[in-house]
Amino acid sequence: MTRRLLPLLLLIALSACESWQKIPPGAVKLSDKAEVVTTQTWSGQGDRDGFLWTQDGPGMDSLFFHLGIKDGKTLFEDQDVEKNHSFILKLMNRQPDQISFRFSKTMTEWEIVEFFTTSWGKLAGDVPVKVENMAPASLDGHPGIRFQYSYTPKDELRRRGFGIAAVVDDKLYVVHYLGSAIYHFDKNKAEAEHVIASLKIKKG
Amino acid sequence: MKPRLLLSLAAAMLLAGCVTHETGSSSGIATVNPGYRPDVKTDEAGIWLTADKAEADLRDSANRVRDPALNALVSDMVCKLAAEYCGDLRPYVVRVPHFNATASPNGAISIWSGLLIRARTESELAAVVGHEITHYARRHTLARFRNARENTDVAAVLGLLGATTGVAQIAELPHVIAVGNIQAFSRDNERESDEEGFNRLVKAGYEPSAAADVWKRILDLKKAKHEFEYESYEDRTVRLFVASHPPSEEREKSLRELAEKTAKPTVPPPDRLRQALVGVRLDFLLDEVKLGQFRESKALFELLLKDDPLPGQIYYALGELYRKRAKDDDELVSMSYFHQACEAMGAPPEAFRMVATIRWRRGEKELAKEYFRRYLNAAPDAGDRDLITHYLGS
Amino acid sequence: MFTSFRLVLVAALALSVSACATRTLSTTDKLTRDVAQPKILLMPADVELSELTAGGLTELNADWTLSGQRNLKAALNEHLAKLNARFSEYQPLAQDDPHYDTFQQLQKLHGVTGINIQNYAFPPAPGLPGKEGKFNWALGPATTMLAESTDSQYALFVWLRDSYTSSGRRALKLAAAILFGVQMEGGKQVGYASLVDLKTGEIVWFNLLARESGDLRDLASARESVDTLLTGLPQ
Repeated sequence: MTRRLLPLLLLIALSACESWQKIPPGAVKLSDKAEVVTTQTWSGQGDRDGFLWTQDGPGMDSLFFHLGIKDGKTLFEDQDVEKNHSFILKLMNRQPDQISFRFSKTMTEWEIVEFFTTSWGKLAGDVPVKVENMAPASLDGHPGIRFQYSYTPKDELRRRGFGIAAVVDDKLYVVHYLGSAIYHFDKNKAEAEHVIASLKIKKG
Repeated sequence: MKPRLLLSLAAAMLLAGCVTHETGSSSGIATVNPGYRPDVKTDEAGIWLTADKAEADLRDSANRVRDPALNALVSDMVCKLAAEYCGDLRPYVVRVPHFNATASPNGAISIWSGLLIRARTESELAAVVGHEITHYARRHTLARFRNARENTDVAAVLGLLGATTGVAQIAELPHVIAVGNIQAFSRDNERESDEEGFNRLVKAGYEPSAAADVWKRILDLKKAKHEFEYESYEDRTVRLFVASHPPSEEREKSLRELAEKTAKPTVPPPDRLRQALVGVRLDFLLDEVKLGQFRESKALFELLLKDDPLPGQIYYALGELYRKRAKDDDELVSMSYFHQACEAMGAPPEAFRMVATIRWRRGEKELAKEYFRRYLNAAPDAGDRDLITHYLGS
Repeated sequence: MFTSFRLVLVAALALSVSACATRTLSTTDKLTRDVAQPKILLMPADVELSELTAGGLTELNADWTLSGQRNLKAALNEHLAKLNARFSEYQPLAQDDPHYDTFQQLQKLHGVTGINIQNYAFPPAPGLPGKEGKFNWALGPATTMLAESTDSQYALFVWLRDSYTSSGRRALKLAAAILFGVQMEGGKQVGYASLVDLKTGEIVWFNLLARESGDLRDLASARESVDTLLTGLPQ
């Protein structure tokens, strides 16, 4: 179904067509607001508040940085379906039967994880994303939550992932790593842990 | 669309119409015999090979629902409906939150979770599955395939014309025509499946009015969905559904007439659906919430509430629906649903956590803590136990 | 209701026919010969033979596909014997076998890896600069399960789509060329094969095949196809 697959296609298009940058070991300035340190070489792309890194290809291992999602915004910009609803139809109260799931600065930790897994499941084509565990954690010293998840998209290759989320200055920061459960999750997990632990967020 | 393209499109459709097969029994394709396998030299064998591959994927799919009780019911029901084809059909339940069921030409039947939460009785589910079994028995896929092959043959010729006349748009026509015709069974096939499916339903001892009832339900839900909508049928499911099926009103009416002419079963029909769904329905309801189709989901949940033995699940799903929309005073509405869930049969432990969450946000810490405790009592092994304990200690 | 059945349009084929019939990437040109005749395990080969209808649909032909699969195996067997390697075929596991899931996931992983290699490893694709030009994809340690349970040293994965022009298509193609000077697509042989070292889990050789000729319907032609498909295979 085209509409259901669209976000997935967007993801693929994003990964396949935009050019990748080499990310050598060392300090990496992601944006004006965030910096990390890596010990391995990655390929990466993205801008402003969203970055994707990979070693073997985005279908196999991905390190995602969602940096500073504002109150009322969706995890991915494309997931904001109401944005595309016509203004006039809105005035006439005749909108399509679609709502987006949005981050709220007042969410509790489990609501943030649920917001993340729901958005991620949509991206993967309306598949359930299972939360394997949650625990208090910190991201650059800010109190947050650590979570581990798993899901199987339409390619039937099982994925596992983990990440840490925290709200800083009313904005959501999520950094997570995912890979094929049979190989890539374990392959780069330790490196992903290092990168996440090295994240420095500049306020303001 | 530009007028010129529309015109060419109309012309192309006319052309395609000339070669369209009249499908169904009139197409000259015989009904399958029990135990049937096509000869390897035929086009049908190619279709079966594709279907066999798809079935192997389906069998191993992570999306397949393996709950034993539900699979036992579905197998038994398919056998009752299939009668002579019992040994040829293999039903699978899949976790896909849309209203649908499919029958592959090789006998694989797939029943989607979105159908399972929309059917209210075993008879209603049987009505839809009986319809699908007819697609199998009447080899409608083969008819559709042959139809598509001829249509695209015409399309290729048209494409060639387009390439030479310099009308850029016409080059896209092959695709337009092919897609338009390949997507669905013909209306005649659908009518045939409705009628024969109805006969199977009655023969198997199910409630005759269930066929009309289930279509009425789907129609009601679509109406709720499109009530405020300018672009109705925007959703692909609906669009396809409308394109391939007799209009639902017409379909419901003819099925209703059939039911009125048919005697009620002498023995009350079996109704094991709700019991069979106990282990999986909450997941299915929450998948529905995650689709983000607020109006249709709300209409569905309210309809289910009328006589559901586990209203706690439905109140919880309604609460989640409002919490996720998060407009105006949605949080208050969701809290009241979560409260109702907590006091009703079948509430998931998360209902307590959500009451606690919202109370906490509203600064009602003591009340929140009471519900956090109730949550931990109901789910002692909860994955977020450490977090909740942290809240209780502050 | 709508069925899951779909017709595959030729245009959907991911691989395009290029000037060269094959393109190869590998980490070595030698097989590890800890045993004199290494055993190469053919994983369930995904091979389909189709007829290209006048309208440009690929219509799967069951008869051709079954003989194509047989011929592929026979030709593979001969080819590997010439290289002083042993051919064996993977025997499907029962669904309740403890290795079943690992086996399935390895195949799915290989499928996704194959797509990534096609997207990123073959020039002129800009590729993944983090790889620094290295060809180093792997399926990981789970491949030892295959090595142990089948006593094999390598696994060979094959994905192949072979299409042949129908008489209707041929006529249309001819008409297009003569009347309008338009080149229409005809039958194609596209696919890939890869060799995995089961001890290390590494993909040591990967070959892309795309050409407008080749046949698997008879053994003699299948031999030529297999020789082409295995171009550059480590020996």
